[in-house]
Amino acid sequence: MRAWRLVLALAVVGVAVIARGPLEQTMQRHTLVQLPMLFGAGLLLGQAVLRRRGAASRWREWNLQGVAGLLLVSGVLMTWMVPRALDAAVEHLAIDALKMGSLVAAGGIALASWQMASAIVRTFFVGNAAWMSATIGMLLLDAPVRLCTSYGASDQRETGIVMIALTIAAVLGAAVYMLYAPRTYDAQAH
Amino acid sequence: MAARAAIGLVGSAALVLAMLGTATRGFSALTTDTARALDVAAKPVLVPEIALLDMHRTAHTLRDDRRSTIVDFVYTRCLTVCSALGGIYHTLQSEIGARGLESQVRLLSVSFDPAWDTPERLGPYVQVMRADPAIWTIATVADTAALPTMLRTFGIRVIDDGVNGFVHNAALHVVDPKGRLVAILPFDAIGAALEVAESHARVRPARR
Repeated sequence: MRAWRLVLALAVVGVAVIARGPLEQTMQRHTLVQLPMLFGAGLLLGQAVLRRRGAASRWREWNLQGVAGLLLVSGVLMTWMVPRALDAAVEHLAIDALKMGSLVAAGGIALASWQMASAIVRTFFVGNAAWMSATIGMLLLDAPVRLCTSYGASDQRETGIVMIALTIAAVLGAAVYMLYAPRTYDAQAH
Repeated sequence: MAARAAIGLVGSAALVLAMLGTATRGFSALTTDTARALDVAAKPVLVPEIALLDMHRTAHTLRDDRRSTIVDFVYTRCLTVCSALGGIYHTLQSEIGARGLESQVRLLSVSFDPAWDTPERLGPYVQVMRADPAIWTIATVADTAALPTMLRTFGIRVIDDGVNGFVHNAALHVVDPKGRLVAILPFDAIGAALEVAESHARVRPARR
């Protein structure tokens, strides 16, 4: 029934792996296309696997309110925003595999934890992610030097601009969602 | 219940710290360049014995038996960072003369674009840079196959800029008379580079 999610998730991961060369050629494609693709594939995988087997509930006690899981997810996202880690992923296949695996896993963990989280916990982590990406965006835009040895200075600036724009759009979108759909937002928390 | 939740939280936090610590070389470096400079400072790296050719096709290597060598990597068609480096090297050359360090420190610019930068094409570049051959050697690799090893040793990454040129990181690399890469400094750290180079020149070359 949810097989299409599984198929789609695997297809997205497949594209991220096969098109590794072109996707990692510029910082924009790497950070704004490939990384979200992998995380999104993790979300889809989570939907396909977790709901079917109710696996997430087994971890409920260890992952109270989803806080431990969402913390781990934030950590994975932060790690791959470190310029040195991004360079290493471009240069070493094994580290790139680690990057891809951890991001897909982070997507799955994010979904499972999100379902357990209350509105307060959700707001905290979404707010934290927005703050983080806006800060990184401004850093990329303003840095006087190249931060990645794999990417050029103009690529870095453009990535910063797009990252800030996406953050603003996401925050506005979340605000609109919370204002106009408060009931469903509360209902999904339980 | 509460104990499991606490373990989950602490375990997750520990994992996050471990990941970030690994990515940042133990919270000491955010960029590849910084990490490389710290690695080299902590543990000098032996540079490969690679044959280099100057404009007269005279052979050189990355190290000099007597003097410390301040090495940088350029390509002569470069209009951006290499011109800046050229200016820095010109200042270094003047400083070496002014401080009387000719017998202790030398300068070496190596092209990472041997396909274009043949020894013959280095001539005009040497003239533009007003390089004094007693202090500053501008050379290209004799064998292209040796290029990747050399660039990897120095932590130089050259990427295509899409408009027939290259994007590359720039720094001052100090190689001591024993052929060890002992320091990587920011490309405008003229004073610091001279001090490090001079201090290593005093080390007596190993007897053979």
